[in-house]
Amino acid sequence: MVPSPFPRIPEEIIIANILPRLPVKTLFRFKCVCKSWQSSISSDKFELSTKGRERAIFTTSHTDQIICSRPYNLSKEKRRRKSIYSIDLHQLDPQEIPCPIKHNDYYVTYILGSCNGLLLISIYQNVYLWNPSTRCYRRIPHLNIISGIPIRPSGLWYDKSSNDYKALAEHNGDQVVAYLQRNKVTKINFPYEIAACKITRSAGLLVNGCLHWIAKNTSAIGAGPNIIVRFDISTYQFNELPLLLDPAREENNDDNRFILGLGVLDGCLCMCRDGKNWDRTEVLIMREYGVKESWTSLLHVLYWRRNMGRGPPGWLVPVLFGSTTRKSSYSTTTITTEEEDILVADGSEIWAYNLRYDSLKKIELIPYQNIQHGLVTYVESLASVL
Amino acid sequence: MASKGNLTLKSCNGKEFIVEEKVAVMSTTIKNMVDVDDSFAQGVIPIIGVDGKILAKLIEYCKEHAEADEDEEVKSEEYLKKFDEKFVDELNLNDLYDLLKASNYLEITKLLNLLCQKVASMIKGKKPEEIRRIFNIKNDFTPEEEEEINRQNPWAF
Repeated sequence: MVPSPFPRIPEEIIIANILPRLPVKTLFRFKCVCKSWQSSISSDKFELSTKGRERAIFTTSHTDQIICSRPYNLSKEKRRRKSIYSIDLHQLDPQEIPCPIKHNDYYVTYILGSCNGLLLISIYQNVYLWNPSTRCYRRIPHLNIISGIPIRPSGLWYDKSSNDYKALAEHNGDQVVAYLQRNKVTKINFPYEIAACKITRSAGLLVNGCLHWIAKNTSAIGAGPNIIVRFDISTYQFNELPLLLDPAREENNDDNRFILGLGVLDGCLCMCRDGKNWDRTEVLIMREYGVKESWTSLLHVLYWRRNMGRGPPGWLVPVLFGSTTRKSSYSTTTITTEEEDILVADGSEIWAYNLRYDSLKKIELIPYQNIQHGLVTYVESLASVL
Repeated sequence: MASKGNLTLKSCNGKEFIVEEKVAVMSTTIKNMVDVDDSFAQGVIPIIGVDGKILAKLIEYCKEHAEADEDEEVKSEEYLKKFDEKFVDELNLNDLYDLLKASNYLEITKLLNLLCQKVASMIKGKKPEEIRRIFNIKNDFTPEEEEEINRQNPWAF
């Protein structure tokens, strides 16, 4: 047997440059290799490399149980969430993770926000800060969801000045902003009607210091969600994000194409929106945050290609996206991806869209399971919930 | 002697390589030497502890990347990614180790990261006892201590 050359790798290279590249699960396993590895991995100073750690989390139920037009007619047993899955968005290998809390064998889990690898989740009426990578969690006693189903916009972010996480969430039926370490809660009035999107539900998407949701412009009659509302996490102000409208409709500032979902690509906000002729979904990216003219069309997904003959197209959410090589100007129309695909998801499936070959592929996830809720993205981290 | 704009690198077993300065200064260590002491730019730079075979590999890597840094159009990100993949795939374990040590000493950060990533992907599925064998690490836990750590995170195993 050829002796391994690795014994000679200096320990400082291993600790500073090899361990930070390992998955969190592997690191927890390697804590028992030796004392110096254990103390390095457990140290506050240990920093993971961030590359390739993007994951999405979602809950599933058995496909035979979701004749979901009337979910509340089903028995409690059938409504029970079956599983929570986390999926590596580069390797697309879903892993089941146990729900941190089981509520009387009947639990409903919703994801309310995502920041630094931590998730704000609600399980039945309680709210928790949870790190799905380390499996640590902590209940936030001063937040609760009376109905058990979050219906208000929510979100999670880190506040540097107070060195604490903050959440936009519910407490005793009110919309509040809360510190997670201190019991300090401020009531907030949310002046828009957010669209109850099935798969993202209420979790606001954090980009550029603002949380974002799709919402209805109540002035338009019969409209679906056609605006993007943002909440500035430093000023607590709400307003609308400028959209690039169809030129023909630009004049009266009225575009009734539905926005189907939001996502982040290359650090830029993206949206899925109905195409002009309602036969396709368009994915657009806001290359320069807040600049209306920087909305750039990335791709179109024709409904027939998504095999959507079985009903209305439903929601479509851009979940992650390989890097679209950023060209010098956002006005360019040539965008190339690397080998990675752009992922989009609807209520039950994930699709990989390859920009270069203009091809669409369904990602087989878990047999007999459909995505119920979530597809909230996060980055695997060792962040503490305390 | 190297002509202007070129540097001469000498391996520990006496092999000399004439390389363009932009290629050599991919190594922060060499860059610092040249910046501080002009005589290095004129004469021969000894690369201590790195033999000719490994130095040739290092130069091969730096050449591709220096050219790409200079002109994005000629060598795209995608081309470099493919080059990097092939570069590490073709290394045997001994060369991987020697290159890792040399790129650490010469501070060729990109290459060091690439090689560490390769080692990480080779070990990520392994068991702790395999890791100890691979890196020749002595288990300094008592069996009780080890069991306690395992008990805290049973899901990781």
